[in-house]
Amino acid sequence: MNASTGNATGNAPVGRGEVLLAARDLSKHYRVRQSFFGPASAVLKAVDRLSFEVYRGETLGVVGESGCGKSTLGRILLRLEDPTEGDVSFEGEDIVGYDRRRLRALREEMQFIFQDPYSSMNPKMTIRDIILEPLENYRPDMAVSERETLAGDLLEMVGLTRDVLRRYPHEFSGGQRQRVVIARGIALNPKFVVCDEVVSALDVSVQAQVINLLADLKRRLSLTYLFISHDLRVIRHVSDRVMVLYLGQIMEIAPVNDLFDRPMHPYTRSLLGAISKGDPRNRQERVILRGEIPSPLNAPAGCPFATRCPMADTRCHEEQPRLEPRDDGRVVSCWKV
Amino acid sequence: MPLTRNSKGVTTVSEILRVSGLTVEFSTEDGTFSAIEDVGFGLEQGKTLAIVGESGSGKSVTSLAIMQLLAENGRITAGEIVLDGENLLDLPPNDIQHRILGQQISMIFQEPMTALNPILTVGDQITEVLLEHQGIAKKAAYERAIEVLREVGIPSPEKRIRQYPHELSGGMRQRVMIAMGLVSEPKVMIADEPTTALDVTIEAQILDLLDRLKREFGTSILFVTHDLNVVADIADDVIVMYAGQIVERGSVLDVFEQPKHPYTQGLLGAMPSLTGVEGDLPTIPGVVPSIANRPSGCRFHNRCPFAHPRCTAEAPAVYRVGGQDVRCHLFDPHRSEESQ
Ligand SMILES: Nc1ncnc2c1ncn2[C@@H]1O[C@H](COP(=O)(O)OP(=O)(O)OP(=O)(O)O)[C@@H](O)[C@H]1O
Ligand SMILES: Nc1ncnc2c1ncn2[C@@H]1O[C@H](COP(=O)(O)OP(=O)(O)OP(=O)(O)O)[C@@H](O)[C@H]1O
Ligand SMILES: [Mg+2]
Ligand SMILES: [Mg+2]
Repeated sequence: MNASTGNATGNAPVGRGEVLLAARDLSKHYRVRQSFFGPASAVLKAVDRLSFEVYRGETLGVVGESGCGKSTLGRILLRLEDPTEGDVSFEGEDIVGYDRRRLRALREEMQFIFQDPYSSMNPKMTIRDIILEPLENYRPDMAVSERETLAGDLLEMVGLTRDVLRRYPHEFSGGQRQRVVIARGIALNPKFVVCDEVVSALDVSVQAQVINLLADLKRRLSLTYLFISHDLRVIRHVSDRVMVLYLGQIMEIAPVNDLFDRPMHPYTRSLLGAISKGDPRNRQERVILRGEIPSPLNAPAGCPFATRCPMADTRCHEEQPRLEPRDDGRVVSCWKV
Repeated sequence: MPLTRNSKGVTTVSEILRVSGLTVEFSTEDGTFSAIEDVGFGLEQGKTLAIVGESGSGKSVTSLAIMQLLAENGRITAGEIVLDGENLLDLPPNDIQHRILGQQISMIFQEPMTALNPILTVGDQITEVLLEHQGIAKKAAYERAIEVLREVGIPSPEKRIRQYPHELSGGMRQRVMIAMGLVSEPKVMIADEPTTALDVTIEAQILDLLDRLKREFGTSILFVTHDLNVVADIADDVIVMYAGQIVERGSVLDVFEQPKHPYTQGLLGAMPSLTGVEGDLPTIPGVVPSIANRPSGCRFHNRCPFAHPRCTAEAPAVYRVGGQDVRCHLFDPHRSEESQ
């Protein structure tokens, strides 16, 4: 399942291929008010010095608990927001310095499919107008009849029928609305798509339909996904490689089977140990983490996970570990590994 | 055999709660619809019974009906709710308010913020039930509250007891709500999606806590969830609901290892696996019908891979199959050849 183009230097470790997108020391820090009356002084490190690559044709899963920076990362990669620091390159070009005109062109290549399809759709627009919105902006000279045909084609591609073009979002179920948002996301024929919790609000039976649809589109349109989810099962199913975030930092990146079969970072192990296994005959002891997730406003000085880590010692509390690339294609940020 | 098979006297385990034939209707602008129909089950002392089903299947309506907390437009039109020998539907409202709710049955909700009072301290909320109904002195009530907070795993409870809900994290609020439900030592605790809004590491803490309550205090738990994995982990028995009806009921092992109803089979199949199976996930075509559009006959027939003409025409009865009760024509022992 891994992208297998092999890299130029020959010794291609697991999962390596042609780099489509690369992030270097990417950070997004927000200035926030600490209390209602206080000065706007505190800094919240939503995303903190992330470095990683996305290979062409792969699905890179991004997993982590609420507030760890998944959506923020998606937004800055697509330049929907500017990073505070760091670089992003797409197809070898640095896109952080892009001006408006070049950004506009870039947006055709990179799309964002949001969580919560209802709030990302205008309820007064028909399904046709919602799907064609990006085309109106980017292909103004396309003939009306051609556009109409394309909208119908897109609907069929996501498993809906052409006859719903004149209907409104409220007439659809959650799963159908998610399909409409996906149709809009692929309308411009992008190369790279960020899917942010796209199946999280759906019932299991419908979730499976949408996961299959995304896999099918990826094959047919040669897409590359950054797939954000807090659901480890979904991540396991869709990803080629997985990045685990905690408090805005990368804890571990690994090929999907390695991560699930042999998690290395103590946080990854805790996550996997905490989830219910779905097997009533083998109820294992749940891994119970002591302590609460620290507030992102006073992130610990050392390793962000140290306050809850069963293995942490003094060094972990004082000194931040570096992301260490390993021979087997994994990267882990931990003093203890 | 009907779902309301009574196990009283058959085994040594005692049934603390028995619901039978429970039907709830809502009147809406578009007419009156039944949200749940003929719901029946027994909850045994010291056991966890899970109600599982997709959105809109009637899980919350079932729990709210038991707690008599239905919305204004809702009404119980049939059924019995027997708690420890008393039919709650026969009791005067006053009795329910003062003797039953919060005392013998308590409920924890999905969204602790909506259930907790934002202007009362944690301590005031937890002691409320003790002060109001059990005539305990204030000092003793606070001591008991601190003890309960410690039991649910809240560090430095003496400090927390003076705080307000907004000063706590999501996981802590959920534990405060469990503490509130627990302080009167109820016989039955209804937990409606108590971990759905929480991160997995916090979910693990809460599930662990509920397990401990069951083991150490013999509390019987009715656990409502849409997450089959959680069910596999904590339930003794399982009810699967679809479109307002129970479609399958049995022990957790039976239901997971030999699911009988096509819907249960579909649900279990559609779950992405943790051991990583490649290729497409099995799906159930279509969507869960809304309350106003529930199909006639078997409510699952338009999504069922085994549907035959009888399924469209006739509502199935409940059959005993192996260890389970199943609402499906496939298990009718008198099924005629041509319908197979
Ligand atoms: N515009 C903003 N201003 C201030 N803080 C923000 C802003 N956007 C996000 N944050 C903070 O940044 C952190 C990361 O948020 P983000 O939404 O990226 O998390 P997430 O991993 O997507 O969480 P979830 O799983 O809940 O969607 C959080 O602490 C959040 O409160
Ligand atoms: N006050 C009400 N008025 C009208 N219909 C209602 C009312 N409350 C619930 N319903 C309907 O009853 C059905 C069952 O709702 P219920 O809340 O029990 O679902 P649920 O299984 O708890 O779903 P979820 O997983 O989304 O919480 C739904 O179709 C719902 O729309
Ligand atoms: Mg997010
Ligand atoms: Mg509910």
